[in-house]
Amino acid sequence: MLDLIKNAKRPVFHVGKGIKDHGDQLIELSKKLKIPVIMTGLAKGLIDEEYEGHIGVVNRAGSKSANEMIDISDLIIAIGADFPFANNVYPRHKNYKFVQVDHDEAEFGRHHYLDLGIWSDASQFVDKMLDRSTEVSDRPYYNAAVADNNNWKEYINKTYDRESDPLEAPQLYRTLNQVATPDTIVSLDVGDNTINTLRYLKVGPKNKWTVSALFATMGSGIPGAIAAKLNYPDRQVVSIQGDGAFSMVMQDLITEKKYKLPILNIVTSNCVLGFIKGEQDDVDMKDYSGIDLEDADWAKASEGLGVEATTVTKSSELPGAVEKAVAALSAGKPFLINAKITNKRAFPVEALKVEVEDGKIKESVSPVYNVNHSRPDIKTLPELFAHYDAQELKPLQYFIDKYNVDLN
Amino acid sequence: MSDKKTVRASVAMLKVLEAWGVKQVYGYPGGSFNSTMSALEDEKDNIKYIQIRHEQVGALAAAAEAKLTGKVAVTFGSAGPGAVNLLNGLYDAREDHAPVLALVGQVPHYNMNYNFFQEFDENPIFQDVACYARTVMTAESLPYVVDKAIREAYKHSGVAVVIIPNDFGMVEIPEEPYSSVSPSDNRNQKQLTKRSTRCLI
Repeated sequence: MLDLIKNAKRPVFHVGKGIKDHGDQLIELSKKLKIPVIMTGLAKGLIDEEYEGHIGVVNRAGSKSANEMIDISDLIIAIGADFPFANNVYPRHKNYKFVQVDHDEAEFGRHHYLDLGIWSDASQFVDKMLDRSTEVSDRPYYNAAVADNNNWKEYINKTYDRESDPLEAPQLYRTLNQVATPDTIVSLDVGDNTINTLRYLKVGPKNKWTVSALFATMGSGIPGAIAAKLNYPDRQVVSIQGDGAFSMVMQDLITEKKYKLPILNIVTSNCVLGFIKGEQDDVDMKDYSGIDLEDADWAKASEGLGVEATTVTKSSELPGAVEKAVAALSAGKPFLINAKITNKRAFPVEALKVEVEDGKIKESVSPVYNVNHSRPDIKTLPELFAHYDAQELKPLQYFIDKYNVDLN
Repeated sequence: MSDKKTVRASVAMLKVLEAWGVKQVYGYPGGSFNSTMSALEDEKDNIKYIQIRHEQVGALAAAAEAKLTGKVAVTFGSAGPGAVNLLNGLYDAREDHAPVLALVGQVPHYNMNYNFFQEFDENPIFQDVACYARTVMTAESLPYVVDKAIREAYKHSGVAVVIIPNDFGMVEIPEEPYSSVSPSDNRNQKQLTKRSTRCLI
C-alpha cells in the first residue's frame, strides 16, 4: 500500500459510510499524505466539509472538482465505500491503480478490478496508515484539487447567498440550515433534493439524516420523519421532498397530526419530476415526455389533513414562513411549507468530459448533454458555464497549469 | 399442566418484541391481523401501535427507524393487499441493510389452501426481499419464530418476515420466557445496561 502511494502522483481517497466516527483521523491522514478526499453521498456528515482537502462527491449530485480530479487520478483508494455508481464513474478513465479497503472480503472487486484488496475495517486502516506512513511535504495534484474545489465552492456560495424571485432551491436550503439545530434530523426524499442536499445541506457531527439510498424510492421523506420524531422526540425533525414524492404519501400528514409529532415538512414544488427532466435532457428523444406534474395547492391540502401550512414563492418570504413554522413546532404541532421553486436544472457536472491527451487536459461538453435539444445549443465550456450562471468556474486545465501537475 | 400459567400466543409474541427493545410497531389493521391487534391493545402500556395510513408508509418508517437507530424495527400488514403494500419499504430496508421485521397476516390455518377470501400462499411474495420468511405452523411456536426472525434480521442486516395465521394468535400457550435476548448480545436492547456490559468484560 505504502509503495503504491509512494509511486503515485495523483492519488485520491474515495470514502464511504464505513469511515464511521473516524472522519477526523482520515482528514489527518489526508493532510499528512496530501491526498484529496472524495466521499460517497451517504458519508455526508462523517467528514468535515470545511476541510480544504475534502472536494465533495462524484457523479451527478456531486461537485465539478471531485468529478474532474477523479478522472485524472493515477491511484484510487476506496475506503469503506459501497459506491452504486462505480460502473459509471470508475471506467471513465484508464491507467490507474485501484485499492479497495473493505471489512467484507466478499465485496472485493465488485466496483472495479483490484490492484490491491485490503480486508480491514476503515477506521483500523486509517489508524495503521497514520502510524506507518511518512509525511509528504507537497503534492501539486492535491494543491490543484483544493483550488479547483474552492472555485466550485465560490459558485455554490453565490447561488446560496443570493436572493431570488421566483424562489430557487439553494435559498431554501440556506433557510433550513439557519433553522436547524446541531442535532436536527433530516428525512430526505429522493429527486432533485438529493442533489441539493449533497451540495447545500450542512450536516454537523451530531446531526442525523436518512434517505432511501440504494432503492431510492419516492415517498420516503414523510415516513422517515415520523420514525425520526418517534425515536428522538427531543430533537428537531425536518422532512424535505418534491411535489412528486410528496403526493405519493401525503395522506400520512394525518399520522403526524394524530400522534402530535412536531415535524417541519418542506415541499419543493415546481410541477415537474426535475431529476428525470435532467436525465431526459441527455436522452436522444424529441421532447420531454411524461414528467410534467399538475399543480395543486399543497398548503391547502395539508390544512385539510390537519397540518398548518404556508406557501412561499420568493426568498424574501422565507423568514416569515419560518417564523410560523417555529411557532407551530413550539406548540407541539407539525407544519408544512409549500415552497414553490423554479425548475432550473442544477449545474450538470455530468456534462463535463475529461480526457488526457499528450500530457494536456482535453475537457469538453459531453456529446450526450442536451441531446434532446430542449436547451440552447451549447458546444463549449464557457457556453455551458454561462447557461448555468456559473461564469466564475474555470476549466480543469487552469488548475493543472497553475500548480504544475504532472499528468504523465 | 392445568395449573400452569398461560398467555395468548399473540401477547407472548409482543413480549418478545418488547424484550428486544422494540418501542413501536407501524401498521394498518385488517381482519386477518386481528389477533395481533387484540394483543396490541392488551400490551399498549409496553409497546406502542403507530397507525399509518398506507402499509408502504409503515414499512418505510420501519426502514428509516432501523437506519437511524441501528436497531430492529417492526412493521405489519394484513393478508393480501396489506402484505403486498409493504414490499416497497421492505426493499428499501434490504437495499440499505436495515434490520426490519415484517409481521404479515394470514387467514386462520383451517382456511389456508382453500383459496379462501384474501388467502393465498404468501411466502413466495417475500422470498426475494427477505433473508428469512416463514409461516408460523403452531400457536406455541409463534413467539419463537418471531424471536428467530429478529436474530436473522440482525445477522443479515436485512428483512425478516413472519406470516401469522390469524387464529394462532388467540390460542393460550404456556407462559414461558420466549425471548432469546441475552446480555451477551452486542445489541442495545432493553436489558443491556452498562452494568451487564461490564459483567461480560
